[in-house]
Amino acid sequence: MCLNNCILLQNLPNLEILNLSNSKKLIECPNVSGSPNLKYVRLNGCLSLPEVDSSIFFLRKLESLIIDGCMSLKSISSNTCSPAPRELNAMNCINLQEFSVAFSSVDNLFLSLPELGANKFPSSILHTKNLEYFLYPISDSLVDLSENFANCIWLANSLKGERDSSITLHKVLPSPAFLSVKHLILFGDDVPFLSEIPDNISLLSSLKSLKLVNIAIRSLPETIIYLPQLESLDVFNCKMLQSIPVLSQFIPYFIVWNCESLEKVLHSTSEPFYKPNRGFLLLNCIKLDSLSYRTVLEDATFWIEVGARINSENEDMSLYYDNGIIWYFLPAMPGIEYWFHHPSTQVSVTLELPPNLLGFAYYLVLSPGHMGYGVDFGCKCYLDNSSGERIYIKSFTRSNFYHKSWDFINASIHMMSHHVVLWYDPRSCKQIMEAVEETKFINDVSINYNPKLTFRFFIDETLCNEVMIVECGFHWMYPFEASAIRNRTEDIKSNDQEYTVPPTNK
Amino acid sequence: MEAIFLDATESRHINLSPKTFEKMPNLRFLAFQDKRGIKSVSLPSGLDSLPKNLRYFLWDGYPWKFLPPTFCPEMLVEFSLQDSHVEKLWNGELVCTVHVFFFLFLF
Repeated sequence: MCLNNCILLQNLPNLEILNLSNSKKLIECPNVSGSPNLKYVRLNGCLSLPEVDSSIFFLRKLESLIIDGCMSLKSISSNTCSPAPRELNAMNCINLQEFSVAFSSVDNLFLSLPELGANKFPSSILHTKNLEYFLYPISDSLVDLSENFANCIWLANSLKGERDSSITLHKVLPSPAFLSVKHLILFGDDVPFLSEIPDNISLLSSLKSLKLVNIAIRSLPETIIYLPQLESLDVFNCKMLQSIPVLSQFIPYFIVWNCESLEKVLHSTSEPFYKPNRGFLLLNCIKLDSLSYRTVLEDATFWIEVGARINSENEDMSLYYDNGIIWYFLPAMPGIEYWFHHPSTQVSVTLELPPNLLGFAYYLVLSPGHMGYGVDFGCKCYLDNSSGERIYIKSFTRSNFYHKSWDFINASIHMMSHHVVLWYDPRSCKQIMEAVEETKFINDVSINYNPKLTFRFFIDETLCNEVMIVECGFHWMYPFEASAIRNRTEDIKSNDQEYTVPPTNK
Repeated sequence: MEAIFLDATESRHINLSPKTFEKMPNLRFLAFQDKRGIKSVSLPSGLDSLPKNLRYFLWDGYPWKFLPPTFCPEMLVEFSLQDSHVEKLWNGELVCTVHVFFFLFLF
């Protein structure tokens, strides 16, 4: 039989992709030694498959081997696997007892394993370092992994665990592999798991990004702010989440996506340390209470004004990541009107810039509907200079949903309600203001000359055209802290007797 | 004919005869796509042959236990049988005899 297969596959020298996924009756793994060009082998969901043919590990060009959900597999072993593929996914192989594959190098490997029997890792795993990704169910055995084990650790719910996985997580976080990990993902599959993030998450001093997907948390621990390297925190589909601290002064990118029960955004009692906010997204958090919404808006105003001040001090914002653009993507709720100037329901607006501006931010309100992940929002400004030449200056939010996207969530972004996008683009702001000054200077015969600018707001997207801009405009910022806007915010506060700084969520 | 692409629909079911592909030696692209598991293409009497010049072969829900024993698509680049009923890719006696002898002499 083997001879038969060997010879037959000898005749598929050009084969690059072999996909037999969900062939539930497959009982014989093909011998692929005759297909040296195979790059992708997919056998996921082949429930009856008793073994993975060793020829697969000899493929020199193998990029990906997916055997997810092959429930009859008991052992995967090979003395060689060189060069290592980019991906080996054996998740949900619930009967797997042995995994022993001698990878030549694991630098780019995305390895997903089920919880192995005997609650111990084989030595091939224990001695591994510098994996790219490691996906494993939350379990006590993770404490045995070495320092620098993986760049990114992705924890799923354990099918075997009986106790609350928060306790297990609390136990494994202080271990070497976690103390050195840069990216951590906590991912609940179909059943949400993990009722809380342990406070000792703050020990992960190398952590740059934290993603929480489909987990059963009700709040976030405030100790997250003590993660010195943390650049982004993404919370997706945590349907039970009710409150979060305002984290934008501690984490440059903060995304809360489809957490529909979120009601409260609470002020932090901790002193902010300067790690400027770059992006904050609250998508479909439609239950947000009005006080929390005001907290978020004030936070947005504050950080955008900080950005404008830095920019006006002639610091080179182009040296900053994303050119120093600061963006907020929030539900559009009552109260937002205090923030906006020059609102228009037309996407094209012609105006003169107000005098004595420090800078300005853009905003636009989007109607509900679907958008593709490649979406961006922008505004194009043009003005005629003294010699009749037309100058164009374009600004994008660079909110970069594409990189924030998770293809297991949805094929597109669905906005359940109106949302508002506000952004400050220091470079375009400066260019526009300089162009205005230049035109004024050349036209100095008439002192009061202030050139007219035309702004055109747009959604940069080609796939979906469901979403429309229903309103757009600006947020003008003036020098000195006591700007008109600030005063107005203070007025709102003083008019509201019930306004108090809410206590920290404990 | 060089290409067949069929997307399964509820409204139309097809029974293919074992010799369906015998007169399609030039077929290079064959795709029976069925993402929703409708299983609109059936092989009530099995399948005798598949075109040997196929480059791309996709058959979601392929209904037979194995592939025709004479199927030797040397040019095949992508081979996808998702949700299929195959137990083994090939079953039965040795085929492609020229290659067998070539192979045996080499070693």
